[in-house]
Amino acid sequence: MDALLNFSIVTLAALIHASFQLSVGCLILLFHHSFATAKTRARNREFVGSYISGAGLTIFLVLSATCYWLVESFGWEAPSLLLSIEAGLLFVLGIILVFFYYRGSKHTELYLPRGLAKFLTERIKKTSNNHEAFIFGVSSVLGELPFVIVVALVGASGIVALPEDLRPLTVLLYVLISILPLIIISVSLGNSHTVGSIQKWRVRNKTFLKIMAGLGALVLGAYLIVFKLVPLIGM
Amino acid sequence: MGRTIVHHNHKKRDLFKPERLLNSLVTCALANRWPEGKASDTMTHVVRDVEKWLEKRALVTSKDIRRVAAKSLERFDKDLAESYAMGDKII
Repeated sequence: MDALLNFSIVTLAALIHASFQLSVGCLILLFHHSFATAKTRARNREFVGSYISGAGLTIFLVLSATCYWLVESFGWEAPSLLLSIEAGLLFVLGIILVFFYYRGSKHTELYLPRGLAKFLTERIKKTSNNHEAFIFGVSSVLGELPFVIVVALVGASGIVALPEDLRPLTVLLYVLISILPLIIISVSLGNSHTVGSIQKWRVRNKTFLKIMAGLGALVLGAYLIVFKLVPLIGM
Repeated sequence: MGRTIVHHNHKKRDLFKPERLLNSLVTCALANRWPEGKASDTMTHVVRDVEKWLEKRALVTSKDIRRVAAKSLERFDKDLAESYAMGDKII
């Protein structure tokens, strides 16, 4: 029962991670420019593969480092103080995702520092080989680190509470779920969809996406309180 | 022609360069699966429209240029025009 509870926490944290839009937006921009610079489809696929590997590896490293930090600092069982902090951070994240994540209503511009957005856009235009695409994937995750670290912390505390043999598999599952939107978008763009049609879909469904992500964070916060914090402090 | 100043943001100013606009339009068209020849032919028309619009203007912003180019592009492909108009607002 405990394993199932922790497993569901990790899965929900990964789903919230998957709803973050910076990596998705950067992937669309990468496609936008690589269609013009990569010339062939195979080259284009290499660019995108490198980008997704960079994003996936960074998520893996952030999650593993968080797991390590948790075990070193608090041992294998999360204390009530940590659970309270996690729940509080999730509530804040939920509110930010619903009300402050996007700028304006007619596009998908995010509330990033404009300097960072400009830096990423300029980097994409200059991406001409696989190494740069890889580094760009790393940057796209690091650009949203304040959000990523909250879900990684919750996911990590679920992972360290799991039985030993399930931990590596769950880390991989978290990474796979969090990069799933990138894989789906690349497959769509590799087949019949265009950058314009994907971007239009994102604009049309922006409200739905942000409400689902925000609600997900709020539900996960409540879930942590009800199923982990309350039994721990014995209320 | 070529003397119109473009404001990119509060700090940076630049002379209008038609080849830069053409490049950005062709990139957008290729991203939307236009054939290369069709893309460069059509976008040359769009750049000409923008240049015509610029004739009586000495100072414009890069957003103005994007808006006018997107409007001209509507004649050829509405979806592409929309895609180009929101091209700088993806992240």
